[in-house]
Amino acid sequence: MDSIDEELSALMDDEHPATDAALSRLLAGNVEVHERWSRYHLLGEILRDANSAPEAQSLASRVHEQLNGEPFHLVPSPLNRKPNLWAPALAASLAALGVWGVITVAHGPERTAATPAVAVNVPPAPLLQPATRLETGPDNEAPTAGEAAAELRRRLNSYIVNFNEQRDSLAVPNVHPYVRIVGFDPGAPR
Amino acid sequence: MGETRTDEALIARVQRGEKAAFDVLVLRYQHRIVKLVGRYVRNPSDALDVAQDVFIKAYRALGNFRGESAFYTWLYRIAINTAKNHLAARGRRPKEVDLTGPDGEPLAIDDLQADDETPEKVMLVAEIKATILRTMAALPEDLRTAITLREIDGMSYEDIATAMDCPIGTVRSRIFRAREALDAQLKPLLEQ
Repeated sequence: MDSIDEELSALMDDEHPATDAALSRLLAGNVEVHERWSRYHLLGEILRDANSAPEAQSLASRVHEQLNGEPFHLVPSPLNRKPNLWAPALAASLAALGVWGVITVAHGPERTAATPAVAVNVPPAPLLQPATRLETGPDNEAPTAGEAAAELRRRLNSYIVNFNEQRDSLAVPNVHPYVRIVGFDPGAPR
Repeated sequence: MGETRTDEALIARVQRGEKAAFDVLVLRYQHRIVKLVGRYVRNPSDALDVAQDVFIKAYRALGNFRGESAFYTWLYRIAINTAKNHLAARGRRPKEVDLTGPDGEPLAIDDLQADDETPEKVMLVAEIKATILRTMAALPEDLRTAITLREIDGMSYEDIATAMDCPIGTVRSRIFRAREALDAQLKPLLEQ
């Protein structure tokens, strides 16, 4: 191309074959080059819509002045950044930790002794029996961790269902129903 | 109008700390943003202040710009929100009218554009318009066709080359020469 002005014209149309090199020349250009860059854009605006805003010519210098004291943007370019995987990895770790926690609670013998005091408030057994009792096989066949967790979830769910069905008759003033649910003891006899 | 590649290169430079690249982006979009903000904010001086705020916000948020949309679309949304916030801060609610922006979002026009323009601005805009139209009419036909296909019809150089049956280099040169001729008339008007 013959001149920086012709490069400006191609750059503003996104038609320059060597964008980066041309931008470097534009950035290194003087005030006149920058003003021409702005006027070329204004011309386009005028051709498309005559109600353009010529007073905006002064805006760039005002923005430049105000940004003088601002720190540089030193973040890596998001345009080239690789996908961020830490959030899904963290979520997966937390989920795994949660499953491990459920399994530990289901099998931990010390949990029997550590049953919260609120468990005393569990309503009479007939009211809180699961709707259908699940058979887990002979007692000498120890369930796998997954089966134990599934059983625990089923029992908890059953407690919640039963409790919600009978909550009116169980109503205790100033006691939130959730208190009863956390008082569940997985080691207690069924 | 096909500014993505140049914008991306400029944004990458800003994000690497080359602040001057942001000046070039402001120079590129200042007219459009002032015009857009002017649809919301009646007072031209306020509109300039709000437009300035738009670019400052854009600069500060540029680290979060992921290039999922065009830079102007992103800037457009900042401008709309900033203008609305400006009106809300002044206890004025913009009227929604049946106009849409690049994202299909309804534009809110605070009032009729003509009401808030100073006589000087009206005269300047009229003079610029008349001058540009006169200069366009006086351009050689190949230059006028090339700049019209580019600026008004938004065609790529390749498509213009096909339409005008000439090489892309010729299209590039014709568009530049048309701009040069128009700019020669525009520059003295802006310096008045």
